[in-house]
Amino acid sequence: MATGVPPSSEEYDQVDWSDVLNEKRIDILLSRQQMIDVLRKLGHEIDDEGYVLDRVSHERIISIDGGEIKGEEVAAALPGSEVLLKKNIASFSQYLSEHGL
Amino acid sequence: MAWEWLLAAFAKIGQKLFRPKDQKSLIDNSARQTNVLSKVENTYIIHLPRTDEYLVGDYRSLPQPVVDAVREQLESRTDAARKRQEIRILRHDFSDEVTEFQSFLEREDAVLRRIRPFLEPQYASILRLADYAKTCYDHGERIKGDAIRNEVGLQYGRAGRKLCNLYIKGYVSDMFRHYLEPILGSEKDVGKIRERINGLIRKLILFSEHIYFIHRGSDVSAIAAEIREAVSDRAPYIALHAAGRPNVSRTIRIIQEVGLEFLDQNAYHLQQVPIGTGTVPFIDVSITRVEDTLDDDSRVALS
Repeated sequence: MATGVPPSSEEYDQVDWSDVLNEKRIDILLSRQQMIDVLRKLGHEIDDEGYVLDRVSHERIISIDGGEIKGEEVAAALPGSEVLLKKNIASFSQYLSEHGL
Repeated sequence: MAWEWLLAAFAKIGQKLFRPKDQKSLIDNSARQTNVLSKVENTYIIHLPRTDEYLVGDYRSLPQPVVDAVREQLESRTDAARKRQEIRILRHDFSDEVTEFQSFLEREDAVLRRIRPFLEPQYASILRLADYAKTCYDHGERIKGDAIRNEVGLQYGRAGRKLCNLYIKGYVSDMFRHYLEPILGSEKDVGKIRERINGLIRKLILFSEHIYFIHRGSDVSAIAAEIREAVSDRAPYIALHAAGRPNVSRTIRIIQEVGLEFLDQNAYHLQQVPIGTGTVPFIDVSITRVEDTLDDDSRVALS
């Protein structure tokens, strides 16, 4: 783990979340494990085999590529109805097209 | 930049974020290696696309209102929430790929951009990806181009892979530039445009070898010879599409060179559909085997 001396204010600015939340678009970039944690915070359960479950039906979520998706496979959680993507640019492209983006 | 000081600083800043100074834009359009930033444990990164800034925060202090906002968007079955604000959660090792693709889309092919709103979502997606792959090949990035084509195959199956390949070979571009674009300029009925474009793409995927979009560079005799050969080989579907008076004339000359008698002798049926609803004349010609155009009753009667 990295350690060290905090930087001087010449190297960084401090920003409040309240400022960031005024932005129209925000990307939050997380590690694989953090993504699983966030899915849980969002109310998704992960079943014994590692698949992400729908928060309401408790069925396995179907990813945009048509298959079930494991927590460790989730590479993006995007606005829309439970849109979880695997690490596949074709899935992302399909998401954009479906949402007219 | 060294990020070693971050952890020591987090205890002091709580829910604040760091904005490292001197974030210069990447003029070569390459993506930042955000996974490098993720090496410091318990940090997360906020990317602000509007300013292309990257902020770093303490994951343990991810504010609950942010989690709530994300939850609201995930639950939304309409685009209303996104219209207010769009919060995306991306894994570090995927975000550069996403950023690069979106940056590419800002420079996507002008004709594709114009036609895309009329396309079914899966066709729009495949053609965007195909354009992306083609650009990679054009820039000598063969491995990346292959990877994109492979992902198209995984997501859309054989038909998707074929459409992607047809785009890279220039078939789709011929269809757009020499046929669809003039139609777009003259046809006002959006429903008809959609039906025509998506129907053509379906045909193109199935019968690409013998579909011709006639333009000023089309060699009348060469195409006529190819059609005669296709008829001799019992090809199930041959089609010619042309927009604009000179191209309609070329198409008629091709048909004359093929010869209606030759088609009759080989039991082929020619159907010509001139459509004159717009200011630009265009013509669709399909040539199919007679046996394929018979209905079930006729087949029984003939057997």
